[in-house]
Amino acid sequence: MVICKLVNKKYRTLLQLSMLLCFISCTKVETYEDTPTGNFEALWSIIDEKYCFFDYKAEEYGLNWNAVYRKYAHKIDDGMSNAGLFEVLGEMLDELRDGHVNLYAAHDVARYWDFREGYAANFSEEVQAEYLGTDYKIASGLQYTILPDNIGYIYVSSFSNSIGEGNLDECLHALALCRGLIVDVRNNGGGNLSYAETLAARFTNRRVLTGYICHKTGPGHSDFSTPEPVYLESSDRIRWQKPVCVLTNRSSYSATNDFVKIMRILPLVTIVGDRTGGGSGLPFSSELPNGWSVRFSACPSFDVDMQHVEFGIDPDVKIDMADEDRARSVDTIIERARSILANS
Amino acid sequence: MKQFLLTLMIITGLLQGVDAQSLRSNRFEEYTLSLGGGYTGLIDTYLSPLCYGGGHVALQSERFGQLTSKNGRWFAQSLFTLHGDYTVPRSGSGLTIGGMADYSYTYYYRPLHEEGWSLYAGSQGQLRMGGIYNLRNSNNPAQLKLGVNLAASVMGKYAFILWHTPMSVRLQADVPLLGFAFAPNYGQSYYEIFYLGQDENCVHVTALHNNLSLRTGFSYDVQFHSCTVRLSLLSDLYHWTLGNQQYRMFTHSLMLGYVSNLYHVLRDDEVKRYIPY
Repeated sequence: MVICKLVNKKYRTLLQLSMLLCFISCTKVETYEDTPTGNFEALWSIIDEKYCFFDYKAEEYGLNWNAVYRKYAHKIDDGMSNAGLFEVLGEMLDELRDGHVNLYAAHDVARYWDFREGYAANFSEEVQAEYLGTDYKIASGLQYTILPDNIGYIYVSSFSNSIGEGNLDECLHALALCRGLIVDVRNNGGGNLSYAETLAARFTNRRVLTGYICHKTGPGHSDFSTPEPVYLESSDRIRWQKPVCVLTNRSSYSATNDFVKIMRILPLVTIVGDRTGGGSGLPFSSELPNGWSVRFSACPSFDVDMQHVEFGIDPDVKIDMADEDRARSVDTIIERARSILANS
Repeated sequence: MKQFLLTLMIITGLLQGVDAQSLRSNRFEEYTLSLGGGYTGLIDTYLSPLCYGGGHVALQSERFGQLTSKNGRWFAQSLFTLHGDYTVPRSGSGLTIGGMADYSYTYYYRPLHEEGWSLYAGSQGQLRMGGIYNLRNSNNPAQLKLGVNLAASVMGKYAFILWHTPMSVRLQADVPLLGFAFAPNYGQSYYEIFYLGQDENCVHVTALHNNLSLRTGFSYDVQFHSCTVRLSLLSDLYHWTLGNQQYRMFTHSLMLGYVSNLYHVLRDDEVKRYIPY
């Protein structure tokens, strides 16, 4: 009774105002059915709103995501099988020409690997084994040894494995008397950016600007934040002070591409081998109503000249592995790096 | 069991601090420790466009007491809640784990107190800290939830006796009005925020246009001999629109608690003479 008296006209007006504010705040979240059409629409929209290279790829090869919708929408039928749907969605994602774009289902992973599959491998484990020998050392993700001409050789197969400061101290200390160093990142498909930066920090004596990064601020294709500079801090532990060659091929991708982007601006560093695979977008994840997971590039990074490195970085010295060398278990790219280091 | 509950209440009560005023006055205080669970539903568009739903557990400690130095009409409530969530999408192939610590302190004014009815209205300070972790995501695996709010709170209480047993029902509603919240921008990665230190624009001013939230609690207290038991239904509704992203969550929990009513007596008070210990 007492409470009822309080809810007079004045309070009712206040309540109505609150409800109005509620409706203003309730912007719509799109929901999709778990049907082939619903999953297609969901995937197209996720990419449409969150993928970060539309403008760049429109310039590079004329990518038009609305045209992609029209091209694939008519291939979707609510009666189609999961395998059929997966194939169509995978083809649609291939239009982005991005190795960071994947669709994960229980039975398969849709991927775009043309950045390396259409090119010379420029790497052979069998040939590399001739250089590493059997008594090479392993420090977390680093395999290292000293070649007969007193050149240090470090192979970094992945940046997914943790590279600790202690690992680098031991590795560089062991190679300290070498006259040059080869850092081989061929077939390194990437991993954690911070590990790549931890390694690169051993090759500079000062803080250096390595590029820029930004992120999407909204669903529009051109909604980006102001690019922020990214700096590499010099390590305060053992730092390499002699010439370095970084070996690359088309399978040097993602965080490895970023590593090469940094190393190429450092003094005493020469990039040798083939163009890197690229992959400069930081990938995010999302999912479809049917449970399939999708990965896509969300934050673009740029080099120091504000240029995209999404499609790779050219080496300073372009060289492919020669078939006749391979047949003799000789790695043409390593040999070229040894030659450069011997003459520097 | 009773000792255990009392110990827990003392510890949580100490964590919530003691009002200096209370040490100088006669006043009553109500301590409640409740445990319960229920259902959570959430959408966090930074993590996934899909709705997730699942189980929710909560532990809540409450102190509610009179500030006697202010003509008997002023009260204070200190509420500390720990939440845990485990949610999956409809497809069943994803999983998020969430946790939240929620603290609020409210000063109430009681304008009405008659015929068993009491009505309270006050201002509340809220602090929320927690996060959601999505186990299948790559560079957007988690969302931190940090918020500080100034809120409005109202509470109505009706005490009655039924079947010779003292009972009461209480309804409380809290609405945050103004505050600050942390949220990454639309496509911003935690690599940028925490590794590169590019955390500008991650703290947002919140008001009703971007933080429409409501916390309600309906409780029923019944006294059995010397102990009072509380059965309560807690509901939390959150709707944040920050950085072009949406975060919506609701939880409904059924709680069972133990209430301890204490009357603090001043050392030299007249009443003290009649207390045999």
